Amino acid sequence: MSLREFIAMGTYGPYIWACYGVTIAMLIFSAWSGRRSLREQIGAARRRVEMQKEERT
Amino acid sequence: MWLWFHKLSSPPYAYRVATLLRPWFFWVAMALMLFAAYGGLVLAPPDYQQKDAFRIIYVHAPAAIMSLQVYVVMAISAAIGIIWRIKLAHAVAAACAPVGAAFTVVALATGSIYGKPMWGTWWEWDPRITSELIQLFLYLGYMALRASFDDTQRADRASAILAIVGVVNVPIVKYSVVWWNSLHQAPTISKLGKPAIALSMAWPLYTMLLGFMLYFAAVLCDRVRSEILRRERNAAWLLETVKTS
Repeated sequence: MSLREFIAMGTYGPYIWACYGVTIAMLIFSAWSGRRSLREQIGAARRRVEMQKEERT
Repeated sequence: MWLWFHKLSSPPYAYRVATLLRPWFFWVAMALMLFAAYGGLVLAPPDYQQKDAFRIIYVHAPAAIMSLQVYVVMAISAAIGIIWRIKLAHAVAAACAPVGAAFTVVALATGSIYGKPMWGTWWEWDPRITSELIQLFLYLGYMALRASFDDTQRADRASAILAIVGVVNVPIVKYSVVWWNSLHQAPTISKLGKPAIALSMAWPLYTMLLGFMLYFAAVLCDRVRSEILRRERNAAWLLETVKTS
């Protein structure tokens, strides 16, 4: 099987690659947004800790 | 076992466990998904009816299965949170929703693209498709409901009720192709004992599903950690945790 045949997938290439593209995009987005939310919360928690320290001194 | 559950329900312990497990889940999931994609796109023979188009099933079906499974995890966590008043369970439920919604979007989008060459239409108000769309609205409704409360405890309780009630849609989606005349094909892989699919076509499907499950677990680890931090206000361990991570 040549690369061209593989990409063409009979006549269904565009449909198949669109589906895999959508899936990969969503997987990347979902993982990224989970990480981002964690980073945000770590930042917010750091600020809270800092503020408490300042209040005590 | 119960002791371990009890230990796990303490946020600092769960936070540590999630941090530890996350890379394992993530990289094993990546490897499984790549392997499954190779199996599905290259190794599996073309279907005798659908030709190469059936290869869409390797992302479509696992995503659709996940859209229901994640919801079940979410509803069970919400129920545990309500019944035993475990805050961590509410945190897990809240962490599930965005990931479940993402899988539902993938299932609907790939289903729509799959439908065009197979059925000649992008969209049909078919029982399976309509109930899956409702599934997406349940996730979005759950997230919107949570976001509408400033007080986390009230958000937990109200959204938990929605999650538990909404679980009725899971069997509706699952059995829609059996109960009603649907354009959608009947289940292929879940028929235990007598699968209607050859092994060379089936293994990438199961591998992809396993990959998606581990991927979900990995993202859940991040989101649960994020929820724990958001909820934990004045705990002393917070100080240690944010220093090191």
